[in-house]
Amino acid sequence: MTQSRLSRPDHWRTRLGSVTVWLVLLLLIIVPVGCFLAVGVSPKLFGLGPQWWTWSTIRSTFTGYTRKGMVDSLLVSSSSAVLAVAVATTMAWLVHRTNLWGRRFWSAAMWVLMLVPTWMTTLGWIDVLQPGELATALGWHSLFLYHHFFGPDGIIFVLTTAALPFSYFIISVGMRGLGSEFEDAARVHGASRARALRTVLPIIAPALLSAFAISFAESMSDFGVAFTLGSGAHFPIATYVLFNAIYSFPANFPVAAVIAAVLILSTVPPVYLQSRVMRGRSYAVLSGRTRGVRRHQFTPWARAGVTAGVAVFMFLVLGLPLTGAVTSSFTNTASFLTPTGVHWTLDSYRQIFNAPPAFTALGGPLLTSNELGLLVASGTVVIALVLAKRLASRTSGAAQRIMDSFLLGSVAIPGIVLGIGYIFFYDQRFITQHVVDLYETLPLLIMGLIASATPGQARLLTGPVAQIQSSLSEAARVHGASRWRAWRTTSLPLLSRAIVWAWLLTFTKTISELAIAQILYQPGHEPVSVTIETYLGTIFATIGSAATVLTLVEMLGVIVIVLTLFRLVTPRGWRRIGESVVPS
Amino acid sequence: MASHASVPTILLYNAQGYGDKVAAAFNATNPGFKVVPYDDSTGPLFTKIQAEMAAGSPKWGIFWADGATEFAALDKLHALATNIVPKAASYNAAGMSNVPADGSFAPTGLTVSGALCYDKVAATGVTLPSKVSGLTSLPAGILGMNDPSQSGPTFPLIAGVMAHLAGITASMKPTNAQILAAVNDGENFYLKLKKNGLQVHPTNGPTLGAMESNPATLDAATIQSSACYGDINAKPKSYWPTGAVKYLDYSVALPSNLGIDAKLSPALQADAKKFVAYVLTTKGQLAMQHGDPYGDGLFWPVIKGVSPESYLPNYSVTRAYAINPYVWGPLENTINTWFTQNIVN
Repeated sequence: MTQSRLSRPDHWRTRLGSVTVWLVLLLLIIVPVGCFLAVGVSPKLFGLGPQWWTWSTIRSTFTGYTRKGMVDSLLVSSSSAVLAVAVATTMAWLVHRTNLWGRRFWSAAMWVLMLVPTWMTTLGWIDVLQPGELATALGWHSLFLYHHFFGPDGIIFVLTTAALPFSYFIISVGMRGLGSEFEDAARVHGASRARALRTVLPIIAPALLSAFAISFAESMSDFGVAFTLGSGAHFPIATYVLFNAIYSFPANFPVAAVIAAVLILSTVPPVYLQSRVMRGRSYAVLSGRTRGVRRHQFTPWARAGVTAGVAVFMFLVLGLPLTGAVTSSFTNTASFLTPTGVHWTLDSYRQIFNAPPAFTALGGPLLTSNELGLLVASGTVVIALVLAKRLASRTSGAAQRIMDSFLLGSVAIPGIVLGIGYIFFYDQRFITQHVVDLYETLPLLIMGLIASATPGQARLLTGPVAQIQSSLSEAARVHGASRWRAWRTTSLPLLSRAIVWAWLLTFTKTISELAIAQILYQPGHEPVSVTIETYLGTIFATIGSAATVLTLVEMLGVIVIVLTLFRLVTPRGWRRIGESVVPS
Repeated sequence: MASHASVPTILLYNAQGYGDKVAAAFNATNPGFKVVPYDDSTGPLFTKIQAEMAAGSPKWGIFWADGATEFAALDKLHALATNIVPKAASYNAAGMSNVPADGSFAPTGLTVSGALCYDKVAATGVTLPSKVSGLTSLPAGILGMNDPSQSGPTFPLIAGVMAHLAGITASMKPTNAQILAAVNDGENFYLKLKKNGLQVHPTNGPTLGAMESNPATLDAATIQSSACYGDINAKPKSYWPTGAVKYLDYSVALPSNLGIDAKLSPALQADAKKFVAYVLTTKGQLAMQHGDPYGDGLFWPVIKGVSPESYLPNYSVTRAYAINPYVWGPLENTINTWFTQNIVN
């Protein structure tokens, strides 16, 4: 339905909706981040220098070490995004279009990979590769790999594994929505297998480009790698340089602001490319008549070989780091292998809830994080759905592109920038004394975490939302259904699975989020990620490993419970058609 | 300051392992107001303080961290209440030497940075030097230290080395030329160490981990004394039975300090001073020791009549060299940036 055909009340409702959406985005993201970025050119605005306007910070940032950091980040993020999309496309094709063994298992493994934050992955790898750890115990000489891990190779590897599931799910949605009829049509007209592939791949171009863009943005903003691999890598990346600028003495907020602006602006080219490619074309392929797919049948030997290859790959990217963390958690010695062998013990797990002096037991923080996860996930899903609907709209033109660029740019905002931006804005004397004093309260932390999660979730939900043809709800409206009923009976069944997974993903990401939590948590209510971080890097690191493992198990437990409830309370049809937009 | 459970509260930005326990012990005997700890490392806490100051509405009330340079910087910005050191505090000589003239921060304990921690097994056959300058002659690749941009106690060590090389003492008012010469000497020293394979790890934990791993990837490191003693003397069993500490011709004094926000109301400042006074009593010092017995609690007390933990040597053994935080604090960013660009990377 176009704007011109809207009745006057509908027109005002739409305008009011737009204003509300932008108001929410202003308060959550735009103003706090804007405050932070502003000090890059106007340090006096926040008493951080004598100038109301200066280009000197920008000039100095684009020299020497900081310039190298930004260039390195662009190279690393581009490489990671390309690798992630290539691997994800292959994996998506194998899982959704072939008779690969264990297809549901590999999809589930991708979800687990998505839940594991980069700092956990990195620490897991250190538990494997560091001399004296798992690899040494198995008799492998890992020093060479260990030194490579703390360098560009390790950074690209970890960022690729982190971006991989995002790409995989976006591309999977594209592939699942694409019935076999397009491939069949090409083959019927005499196209070879390769030619058919070249015909079909452009149909999922939006998914491929979207996967690249989000992988690039996620890699550019990743804080976990900067936090864990950054200093030892001898290869400065922008987030590490930014981290150093903020935590240097005195903090160099103006330089950090310029780096943050570069990170955000770097997402413009991928969005531009995406919009150029998609201009004027519709990629909606999902409707009430979408057909099922026909799988490529490998021969038994090829099937075994390909499955083994996928298994080895998934073990490398997910199994090995998790094994490192788990094995480390069952010891409490300085290194996994001691001169007298490996000493297995449950001590670290006992001490999680009976913490050593000067440390916090995990119970309270875990409860706080679950509370945060519940509220943040629920808030995020509502806002992300509204944004996804606007992004998927095919009538809004410039507004849609602005929203798209804005959200992708927001994905690239490092959590630490959001956190400091929240202090700059919400701790303003005028606001605290005359409006509301939210700083260091649970509501502000919740807002910060929603602001961090919303852009990514909105873009992830855009795929499923975009694939729903508007004729479905239009038909319902023509038959007299209210706007709400039309949405509930047509879109909700198709989106229910995507909504549940978006909720679960946000819930788990909230529990493991560190950068914003560390800056904005409420005194006396430490989130679990902050507690775990205090253990790691001390003699009680094995308790940190045990706490990490327990937290991961708890996350998986919540996923199982929510999915079970989803299975129990939703009609069977919802789950079946929902699989078209979110792969199982 | 927020009101909590009907009594006023003061936020304690705490980077000390014992901070929570000391606050709890204090709150138990002072019902009129409550000290609420906010725990984190020195870097993030100091960043928060600066961000809050930039926003114009600081929330912190008391700041407790290792090192004096951050406190000197806050004092220069007039962000600290002055004369917070209680007259009744019976500082010993080592403690008194770290009290600033305007009493804007109060030393609460002493550790040293630059103690040579080493693994007795890994360093078998290695002749450890007796002077800091001798570290450049160690076999290649066996020495490590922390990254000053991530490890709070490491900048004072680097500044101390620079000051010592140029003969700048804590009581001197050096000229810019003297400071520049000291910085140049120090940079040359660290470049020599790098040429000899110096390994830089982020903080005490990973540096110790590299010496404690099996096999060790690092034989010795110049880090904070309390971190080494913590691992060696952990109970019920040592985390590093083959670890040892050697003091060279000097180490660098690293006082832990308390500071109070100058923007607190007079009433809350008075309350905050009660907390400072409590920490500087025998009870307070013991609460610090017992609050983190294998970490930050391994300090040398600054109050007369309180003994350090039994396995700490006499403070004089450390030959601690004090730096003037008002001279070296302003150079921290420049020196750390140089270190990151030339030594770490």
